[in-house]
Amino acid sequence: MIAVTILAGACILIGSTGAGAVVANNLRRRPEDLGRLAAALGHLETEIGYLAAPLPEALQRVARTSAGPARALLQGAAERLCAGDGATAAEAWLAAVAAADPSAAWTAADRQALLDFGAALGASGREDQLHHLAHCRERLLALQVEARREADRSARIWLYLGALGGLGLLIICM
Amino acid sequence: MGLLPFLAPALRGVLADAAAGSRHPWCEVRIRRGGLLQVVTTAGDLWPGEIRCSDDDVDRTVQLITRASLYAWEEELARGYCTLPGGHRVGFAGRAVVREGRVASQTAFSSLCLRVGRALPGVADGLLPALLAPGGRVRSALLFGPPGCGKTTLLRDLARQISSGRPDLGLPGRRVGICDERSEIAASTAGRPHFDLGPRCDVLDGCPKAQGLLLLLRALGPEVLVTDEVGGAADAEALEDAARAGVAVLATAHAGSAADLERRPSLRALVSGGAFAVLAQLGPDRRLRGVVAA
Repeated sequence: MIAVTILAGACILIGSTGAGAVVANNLRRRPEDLGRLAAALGHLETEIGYLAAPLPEALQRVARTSAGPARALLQGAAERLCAGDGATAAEAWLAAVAAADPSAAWTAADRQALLDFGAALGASGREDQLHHLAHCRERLLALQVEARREADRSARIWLYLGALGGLGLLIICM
Repeated sequence: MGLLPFLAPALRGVLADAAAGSRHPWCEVRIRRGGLLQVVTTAGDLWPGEIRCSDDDVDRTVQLITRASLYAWEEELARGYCTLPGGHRVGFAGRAVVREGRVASQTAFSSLCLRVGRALPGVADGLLPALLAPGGRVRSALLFGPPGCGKTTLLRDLARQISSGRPDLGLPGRRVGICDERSEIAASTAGRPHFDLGPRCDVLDGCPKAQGLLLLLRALGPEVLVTDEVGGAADAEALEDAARAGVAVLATAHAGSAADLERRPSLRALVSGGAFAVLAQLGPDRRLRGVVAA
């Protein structure tokens, strides 16, 4: 009986600490993911502005040099465009954002910035595309600054909250 | 590569059915926003399924043609046409984007004309002997006729046969330089001509004729220069220069008749100036109407 109690207590403590660690980790990962996305859009600016590369190739090339959720997003959009079913770039981008890794640390604001950008993707002249890319990049960088501030402020709190919450629950249960 | 992969999925089925039931070769597929889907064949027009092209059909077709990247096709849209893999040509009509007094691009497309690219090896068999001078020398020629009468197809086969050589006619293979401003003769994509142009052919793709002909002359030393749709004064001047350099020139021009040719000042000057030794007229039925010494 004592062994079961100790085991249950350990589970509560580990589970609660783990949950806090996941939230803290997401908060720390978000600025990094947003930075990667902004860098990828910078690369896409070069592909569109200087090379006038068609989107399927441009997205694939940028995806190859990206990492994390940015890579999956760009790769997903490129694959949808290559399917040959007449999908617009906006539809391909929307589908890729919707299919993005659920464990990605993006918030609703991050997704909205990406969706707003996707609505104009590929559908206008070069100058206009560069304008949209620059605008989205600036928006992501602003979100990154905010995310960094949020991570500095809250990540440690969530870590402690997880561990202390588990401990508190343990005490109440005992 | 056929045209179907470039068409909106909703149009593919009906066109595939129409193609299966059609006995005559297709020349064009025309898509008009809100209009009936039209196929132009060598025997007349077809209206497959009598279906109307929706906004979505037009927009998705444009997406497939431009690979969802309008920005990458601005120059082509400004010119009004582009060439697809497979040698097909697409003409666009929409709302022109004008910057500093010139068309910079197009948007809000209303009509698309997809012209089927086709090589007809041997189509120039009847004309080629008339272009040959003693010693297997090629004489300069202007092929003229109304739009869509097969001038480019004929020119392409002439280029192929001259580049390959016709020992039976006493023609050794000649170095042929093609200035393909509209990418219609060779239908090059990424530097690779789609059509067979023989082993001695060099293609300068997408270059304005006035500069391209001289560039080919200087850089690649052709024995025969080939170009399409001669029109303006600058084109005529470049052709005259080439002719004076001792190179045979084969060119095409839009003109319904010899009288129409006379009414176009730059062409009249070329013909009367002796730039061409042979004039060949094609009729709207895509047949050679007449070949005369200029």
